[in-house]
Amino acid sequence: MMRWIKWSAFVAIVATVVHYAAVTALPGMIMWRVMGQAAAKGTNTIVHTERSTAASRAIVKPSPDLLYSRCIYDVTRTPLKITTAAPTGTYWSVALYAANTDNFFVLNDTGAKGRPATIIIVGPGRIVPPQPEGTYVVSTPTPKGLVLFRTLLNDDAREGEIDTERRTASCETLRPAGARESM
Amino acid sequence: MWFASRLIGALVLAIVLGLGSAYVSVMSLRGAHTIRNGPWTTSLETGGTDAGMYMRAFVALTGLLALNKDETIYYGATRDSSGEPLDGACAYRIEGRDPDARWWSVTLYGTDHYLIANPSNRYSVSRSNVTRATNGTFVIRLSATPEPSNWIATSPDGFQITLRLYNPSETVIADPAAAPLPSIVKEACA
Repeated sequence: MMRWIKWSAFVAIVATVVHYAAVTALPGMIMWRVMGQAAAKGTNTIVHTERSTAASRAIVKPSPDLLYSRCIYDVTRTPLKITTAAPTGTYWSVALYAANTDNFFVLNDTGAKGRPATIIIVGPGRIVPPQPEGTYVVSTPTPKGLVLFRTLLNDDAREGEIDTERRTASCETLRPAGARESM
Repeated sequence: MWFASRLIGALVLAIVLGLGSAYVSVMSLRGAHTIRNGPWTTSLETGGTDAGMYMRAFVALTGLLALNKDETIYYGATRDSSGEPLDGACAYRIEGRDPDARWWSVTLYGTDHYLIANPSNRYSVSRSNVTRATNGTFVIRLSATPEPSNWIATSPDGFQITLRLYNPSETVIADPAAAPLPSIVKEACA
């Protein structure tokens, strides 16, 4: 009898550990897979994808009305400087996702007053030198993550123009790196 | 030998129980956090940063890389307005008025969550290209047979609908269950 109680307790403890480990690790594992595929085309550099069609398989439920661009970032050593495009007469946004999937920052065309914006992503516990006024300095909760640019194709006749405009966005490492701060 | 076989058996059982209970716990959030509005369902947790570990796992499985509710609200439908599951053998119409948002789109996806292949490459209808009646209402037809305008191709294998509201109004954000949304009405079936 005692033996069965011990085995049952063992199973319960291990099952509890597996339960919490699985729930905690799942978002990171899914994001790691997505970022791993995307990082094959480079880290801290922007990649522009073509308009989604029925053949698109990069992400589930892509919007056929949006043009997507992305940067896989790693700010472990140096911050990342993002310069947005500002296509005219349409919605655009840039969204920052941490490695645990959290969408921790969004800026859209209205927030940027229709002008190109500069965003600096800083690693946890790091600072950057003073930046020009209007620059968004954002601290990422995880050193690695993903930047997703969305540009709305609200007029098929302007697809070429909007596509050209959105390709002026960029991601590049910012040097020199900032000094450490206590947070 | 006896101990080793018992240990392996216990570990396998524990892993199955742990993973199974984790999956059930995460997916049970679907019902608890689902907001219903006629045939449409949504969740305001998608894309947020204040999620606990279970909600974060749920969002990773069902809404990865989604935007937060201030930026976009995603409504989904797998049933029509009478509560019947959407059938790939049937035609439907989506009728109503523009949702209260800066921009909106209706997009169809197959059961595999990807866009549905069709010769016309017609995957969606949006605020930008919908044709409205003089009173401001619109009818969007969903069918396998192409139509000149306000038409999206269905799949005989089944489909689902996503209604995206970009920069929804404060009223919609405050009460997405009460937002006026178009209805989904079944028409003829093959």
